[in-house]
Amino acid sequence: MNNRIKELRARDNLTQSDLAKIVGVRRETIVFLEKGKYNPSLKLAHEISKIFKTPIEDVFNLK
Amino acid sequence: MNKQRIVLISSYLIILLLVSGLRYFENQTGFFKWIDPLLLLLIVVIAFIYTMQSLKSKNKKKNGIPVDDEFSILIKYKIGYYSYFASAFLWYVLFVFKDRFPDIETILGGGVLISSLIVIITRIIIKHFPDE
Repeated sequence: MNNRIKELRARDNLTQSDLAKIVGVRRETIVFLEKGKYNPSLKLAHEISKIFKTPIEDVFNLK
Repeated sequence: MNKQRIVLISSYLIILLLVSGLRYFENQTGFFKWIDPLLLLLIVVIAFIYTMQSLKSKNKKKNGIPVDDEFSILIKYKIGYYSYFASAFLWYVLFVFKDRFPDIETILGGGVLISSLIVIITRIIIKHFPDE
């Protein structure tokens, strides 16, 4: 699964730690998400897209 | 029980398994005589690392950062699952080929040693490929 977390994070001036803290996960999780090595749960995907005020399908999409 | 304590205890159990395995091999073959100071160092280093991690976790908790999340829990489950089956298969193989070993201590020592190595190797692999 591809995602635009890194791009959206840069747009909103958020560090990985900031995003991790806001969505309530560890920074390592954000690192793996950005690398595309981990597919988040539906709940986490929703929370991340809510933070970026972007529809979930624009943040995450299937390859 | 505190999660950090569980991690610490399980790490020491793994080290204990590793040490017991090496001990058995040393008694049988004399091959690992040089390993005593290394094991001692390993135990001290791991104790230090976990003490530091425990302190870090306490700080994280204070700052509202979770110590565990869905990703870390998934990794733990996967490590447990894969290492359990790999170890079970290992013990099966050891007992099938028991006639090829000189005595029961070598089988037990080898099994314990390889089981602990399986846990360590599985952890490294799963951490690199969590979603595979």
